[in-house]
Amino acid sequence: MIDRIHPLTLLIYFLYAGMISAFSRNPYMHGLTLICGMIMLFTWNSFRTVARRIPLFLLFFVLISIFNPFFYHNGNTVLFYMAGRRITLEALLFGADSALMVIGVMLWFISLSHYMTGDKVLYLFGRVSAKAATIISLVMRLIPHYVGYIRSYRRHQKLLGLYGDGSFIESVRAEGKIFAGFLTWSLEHSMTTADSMTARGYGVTRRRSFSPFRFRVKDIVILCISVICAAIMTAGIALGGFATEYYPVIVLPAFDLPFISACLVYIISASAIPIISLIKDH
Amino acid sequence: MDILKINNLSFTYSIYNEGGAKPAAGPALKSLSLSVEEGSIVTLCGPTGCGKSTLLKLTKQEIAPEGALDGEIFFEGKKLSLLSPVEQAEKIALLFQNPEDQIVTDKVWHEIAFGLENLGYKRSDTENRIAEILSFFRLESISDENTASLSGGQKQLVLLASLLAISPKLLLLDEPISQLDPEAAEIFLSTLKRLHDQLGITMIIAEHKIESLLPITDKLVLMNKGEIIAQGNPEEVLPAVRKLLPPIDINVRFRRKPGEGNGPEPENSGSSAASEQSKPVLSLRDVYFRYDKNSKDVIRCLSSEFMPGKCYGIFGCNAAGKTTLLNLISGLCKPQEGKISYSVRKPSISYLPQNVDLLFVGNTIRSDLALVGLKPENYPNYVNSFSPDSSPYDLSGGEKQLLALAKITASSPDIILLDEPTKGLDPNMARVMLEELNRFTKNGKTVIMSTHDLNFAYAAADYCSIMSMGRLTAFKPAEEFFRQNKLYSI
Repeated sequence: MIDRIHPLTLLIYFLYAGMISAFSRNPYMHGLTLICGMIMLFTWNSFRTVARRIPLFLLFFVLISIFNPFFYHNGNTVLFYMAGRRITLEALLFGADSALMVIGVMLWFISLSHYMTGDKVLYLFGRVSAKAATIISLVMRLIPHYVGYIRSYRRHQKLLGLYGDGSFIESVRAEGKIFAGFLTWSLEHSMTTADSMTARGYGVTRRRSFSPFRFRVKDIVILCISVICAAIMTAGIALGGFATEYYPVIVLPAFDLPFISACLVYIISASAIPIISLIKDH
Repeated sequence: MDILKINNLSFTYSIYNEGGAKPAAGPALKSLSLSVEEGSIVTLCGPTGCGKSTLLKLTKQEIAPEGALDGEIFFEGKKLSLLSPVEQAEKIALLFQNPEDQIVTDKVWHEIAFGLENLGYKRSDTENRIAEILSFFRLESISDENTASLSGGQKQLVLLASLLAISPKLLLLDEPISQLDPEAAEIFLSTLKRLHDQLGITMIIAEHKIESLLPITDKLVLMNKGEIIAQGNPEEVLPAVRKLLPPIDINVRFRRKPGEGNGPEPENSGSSAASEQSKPVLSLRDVYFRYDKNSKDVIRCLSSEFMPGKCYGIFGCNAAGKTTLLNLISGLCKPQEGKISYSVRKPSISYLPQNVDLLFVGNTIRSDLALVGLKPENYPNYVNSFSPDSSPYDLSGGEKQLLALAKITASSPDIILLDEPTKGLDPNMARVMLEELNRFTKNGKTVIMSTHDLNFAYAAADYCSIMSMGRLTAFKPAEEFFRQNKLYSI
């Protein structure tokens, strides 16, 4: 179901759900992002694959957490001294919170890169500029073609004795010739490509990019909800409703009605899609 | 009604033309007149460099070469130069020779949409055209594939489909099947026939191997040195074509003196007394090869022996492993099991790959041949006609093939491997290739070629075999091979 979402909606939704908490400086929000990101992971992974990744995430978590107190020594609660420097609880917790945030964002991006396939990326570029889309499409086609060509080119030239006795100097000289030869070859052949493009009317009139993707009502709804929720959260963050202070002592924001409702808005908007997708799959 | 009318057309390339192969070597076209009836298929034939391509390119104004033009071209009764760029793109389509160079996008559906996008078609129209075209060309099943993963034949078909998507009135095809294997060429031609029968599209096809085109040709035009020598019904023009481009005499091998090729009969087992006169120059024993750890074996327990002074022809369908076998013999790939041994410790092996571009490094033909130690005075005859200061890439497909042959044989190697040597050759060039191969074997060299060209193999090869299921069938003397086989016969 998620792979059928329109690329633009997909991008906006993932950026909102994955990134918004990164600006909030709030451990609860970071935790929620991580949990929702985890749910998203289950939509395209088996329980076992996710479980196998957990140790890696934990390792990340620990590393990032303990990294902070070794560099920041603010905070009132001293845990112990190391090499004459204070290691504080506040710095450790700040590190843990950062780790939570980094891993949360990471989880969302892993899923994004799974769902955002090459053709969707290309489509998004095409929205920006039809010319850019053509060029990107051409490049995407040419890269594997060129890589394959150079590989065989080198082997055949070796067979023809271009590399001489294989000494360093001979090899450098040969590589230079190979590169120049490849450039000539690619230029010569790109002439035909250009002719073929011209012959098919490239540039005769205003180009209209075609794509097989369509906005469904669903896509528009998801897009709107994502944008509205992102606006609400941004407003909340800007008003300082989420901000946590770590130094010298930890001060968490109050659990008041606006904060709780903001959290609910996030949980519902971010987790609805993966949860519905999981239910539909079963 | 004539869709295209050419009156007294003459054309001379300007000296500063990008394709400077034959700069200002006289006019490329000389007062040429031709009329093409709507809905007919016209086939242009003639030796390489006769002006077929120039004529097609001049008919497609956007890519017409620079030079001095005289005479008129009328399209649908209107001067061609008066057509707007959009009309030009919409009404006249041109397919080039090499499918690899023409593909622009990375997906099949996108390639088909390319022309429609350029002409700014509305979304619903584009969608409709793509749907129609995919089903007409039977490409539905590969519409989502990457263009890079297609075979040459599929690519050419996708390109043809992409041209037809803008429903042109006139379709120009510049040697469309010369780079395809027979199987792909057959599919391509049957598609052309369907286009002609069902949609009545007018086509002009330039090609030098015209046998397969004759059944669909309405008008055959023979060109030579920029002039039309004959035109009319295929039956009427064919004798003139045969005179100018005589096909290879397949019986040439039997006229060789009996004592010339006096090597022993190779036996796969090598158990008999056959191998008493000379030792095999190359032998393969139980060779296995696969490209990927998880893929299937391409070469499976292959054993074979190759004698000096003999020419071996290997047949087999696409993807049977012929190219892989040549890669293994040449050392470009290493066998994963089994052994390849040579009679000499380090024999010199030359390899003519399917894509001969891989062999050229120099900017000019002269500098390229100098790299393998060939000086102008030692050039083989067939290379002498090329202008030595032009780029190897400016040559036609067949000429490139001959230049490549000169390059790989300059060091007089012991074993010569050829992958589809007759691709893109016109009959006259094929004859040059044949004579060269005969000369090598006479000098005691071993020639191993993989080919689809039965006639050529019949004339050139001493022994033939079919590659199938990763193995070679036992090599048989060519006469026996072609006499006994039911399908591989002449």
